[in-house]
Amino acid sequence: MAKFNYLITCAGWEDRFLDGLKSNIKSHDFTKIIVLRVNEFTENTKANLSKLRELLSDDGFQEIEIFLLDDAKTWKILDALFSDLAISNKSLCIDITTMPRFLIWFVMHFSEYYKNNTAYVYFQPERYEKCEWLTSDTEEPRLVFKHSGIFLPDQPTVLIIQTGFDIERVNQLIYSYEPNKVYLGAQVGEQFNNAIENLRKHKEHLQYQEIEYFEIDAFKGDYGYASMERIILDNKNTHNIIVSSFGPKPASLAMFKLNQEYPEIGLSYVLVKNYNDCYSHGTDVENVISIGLNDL
Amino acid sequence: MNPFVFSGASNLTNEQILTLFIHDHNYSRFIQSKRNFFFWGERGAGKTMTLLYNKLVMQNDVKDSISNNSPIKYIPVYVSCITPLVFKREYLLLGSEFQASVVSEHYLALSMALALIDALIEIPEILKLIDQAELRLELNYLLDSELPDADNVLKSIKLFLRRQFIQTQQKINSPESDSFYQDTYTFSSLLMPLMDIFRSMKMMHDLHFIFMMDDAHDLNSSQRGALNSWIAYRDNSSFSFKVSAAKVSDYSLATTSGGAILHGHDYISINMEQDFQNFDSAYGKMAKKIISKRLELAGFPKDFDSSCFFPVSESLDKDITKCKEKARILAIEKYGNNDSKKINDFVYKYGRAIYFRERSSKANRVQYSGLETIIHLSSGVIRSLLEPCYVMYDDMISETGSLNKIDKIKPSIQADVIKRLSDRFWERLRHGVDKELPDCSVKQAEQVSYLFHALADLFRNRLLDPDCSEPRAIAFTISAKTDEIMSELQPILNLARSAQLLYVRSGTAKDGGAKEDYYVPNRMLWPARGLDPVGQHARVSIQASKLVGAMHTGKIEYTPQCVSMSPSGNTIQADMFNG
Repeated sequence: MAKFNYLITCAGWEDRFLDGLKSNIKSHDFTKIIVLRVNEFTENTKANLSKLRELLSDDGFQEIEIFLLDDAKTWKILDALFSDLAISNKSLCIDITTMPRFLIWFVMHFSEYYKNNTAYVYFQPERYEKCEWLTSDTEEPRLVFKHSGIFLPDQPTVLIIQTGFDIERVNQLIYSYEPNKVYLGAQVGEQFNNAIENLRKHKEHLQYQEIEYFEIDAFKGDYGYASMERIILDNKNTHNIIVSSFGPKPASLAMFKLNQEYPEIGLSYVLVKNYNDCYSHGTDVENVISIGLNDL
Repeated sequence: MNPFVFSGASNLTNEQILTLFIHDHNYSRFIQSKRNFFFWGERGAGKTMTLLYNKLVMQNDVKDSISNNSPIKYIPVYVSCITPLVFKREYLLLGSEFQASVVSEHYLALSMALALIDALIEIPEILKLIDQAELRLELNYLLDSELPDADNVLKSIKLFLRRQFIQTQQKINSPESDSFYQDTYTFSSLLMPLMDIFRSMKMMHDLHFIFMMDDAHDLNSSQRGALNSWIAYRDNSSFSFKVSAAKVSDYSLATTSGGAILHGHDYISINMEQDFQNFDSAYGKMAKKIISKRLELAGFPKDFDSSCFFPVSESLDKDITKCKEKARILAIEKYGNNDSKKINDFVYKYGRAIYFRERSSKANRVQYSGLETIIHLSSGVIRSLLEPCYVMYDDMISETGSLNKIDKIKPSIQADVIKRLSDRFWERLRHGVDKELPDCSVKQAEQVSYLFHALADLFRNRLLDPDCSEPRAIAFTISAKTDEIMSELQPILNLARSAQLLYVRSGTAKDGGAKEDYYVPNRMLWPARGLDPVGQHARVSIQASKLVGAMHTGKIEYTPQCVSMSPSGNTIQADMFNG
């Protein structure tokens, strides 16, 4: 049983939020639990949060309200949280399972800035449901504060995107950044084969952008670090590089690490206001993915 | 290579731009002037291509001036506003709005300075006119810094500016939330002295810098305000701005001081989107030239008739000809044999409508094909003209397996591609445009979808109604507008425009001849609904409240129209929508 000063997690509506929390508590010893709650998802997370209160009582955790749309406000709240509680040089366990990607990157920023020793955990669902749609109500793509890259206006742009099921999100990034090339990382195995088979369809959908596919394994190994690093090295002296993730979340940790290594690359995300809450079921608590940034 | 490649103009080489550009539509008279201009046009309307083409032409003029030992008049400076730099948002973490706007303007001023130096580097002959040692001295003084070493002084400035970009971003990206870069530049502190230095050189005393600000709608609000303030600067002797932008509803013309730039006074507007009705319209002619030019590159003779490359399906052509003949006979019955104008008008209005009307409900889909149809389907946007051609060519290669065998695109392939692309529009509506547009809710996406389904049904009902006087009208105007109704309708129309489902054009109103806006749904929508994308020179007037109703119900009530013949033979039609 590992000992951590803090567990930081984010309230979600999926089974994975509570199951993951229970599993974390069972496996580790935490001095304090911090639950981030997204204001815009208050209604969606209400039921799971009541169950959490039954489980831990109000004193068992600290709830922090953060904001999806006003991400600058969220940044300042997190900054204050880390400095007020002196979360510095501590051991942290950050459960990224139900965190929106921008929040993963924000929390990682402060965790690193305040020199904490952090383990990131991720729970896969037992199964995914095939849905007609996954997300809707989106905002324009945004670059992550402080990890927005170093760009030159006289260079063309390439996008490196870890794809998920939402091809529209990819389209949105292309529309905004007008890259001259897109590298699409698809999960190894069946999904990758499907992506290649659907190349023509994707090309039509993505307005005939120059697309190159690469394999990424977001669930093990280096979570895509090396394959993305190769593309970065090929392009970093000639192109502005923007990296974004729509697939399994562990790859976003690899992206953060790549940004630390190569500050020229910018991390980008698309805020989503509406998720299809049926898309995942159950929690695979037997195969928890636990990652330290130094392992990558 | 597929000759109809339609990637952004900025991805083309200079040679490709000069080869592919259609010279008759170059806007040079406006761009090579000392006035400020706004070029409005949707994505794909050809704004970047126009600016880049003119940049190359002006660069060649400069080279000629230098070789002829005559003064240089213009230096074109192309500034792309769609760089990832405009998406940087660290300024939001700063406590003061003033600091935020200072950093935003700094990025823009640096981008413009870098573009200016690049513009000079692209004309190597200009170095002959420059005393490099003196220029280096002046710049060291202006920039309060020793310029880095490079092959020549222009490259040294470029290195300096690039270093400024990197240093600024390194500082602003440093982990402290409130990090701010102090040594910022502005238009006045960087661009104006830089221009003055160049204007003090021999052969450049009357030099005018033309800043081509491409895709200015992508600038953030501080940068747009700064740009507007520079446009408001009255002395245009040494610089002017040619701004290209999509005419989005929220494009602000406010300056940083709280004023606004005025059309006619501070700038002139050019609308790059033109409506068109037929092959002989300005757009129709340009579209044909674009296709011919592309075919020429693919090895076709210069005078090759591009219509032959996209032949109309024989059966469609035959059936439409038959229907036009039918319309002619009807017209002669009505007007007699002598009034050829009325007869021709009748055939124009009803010939194609009869074809669509009399088709059996069990018949196969219309074999949409032919260059004229493709041009109409583009809705006046060049990129939308090239896209179907590109896909058709690609499909033809897949079918024949060889590039050499392609001497035309089979009508069946044309029809299949048009069907696929048209279906894709409705698929987008079915999935919801909220999936692709920022700031669009599920509910709004549903309303957009309902609106277009209602319009499709309305246009179809009109097409099938033998008494409808304008059966092929596929554009509309909005009547009986009130602030309250438009506050509900306008956001949905704006979203449809952002999704390029709808275009807004300006035309002469029926009453009084004043200009009015009218709305043209993307014509690629119509093949999937069995409508005629060729349309006709007419607009349906629809009450704003009916359109709001359509947003909620997916229906616009259609009452078959009563068309009666006046003694003079003119048709009289009750305008049901205007009540």
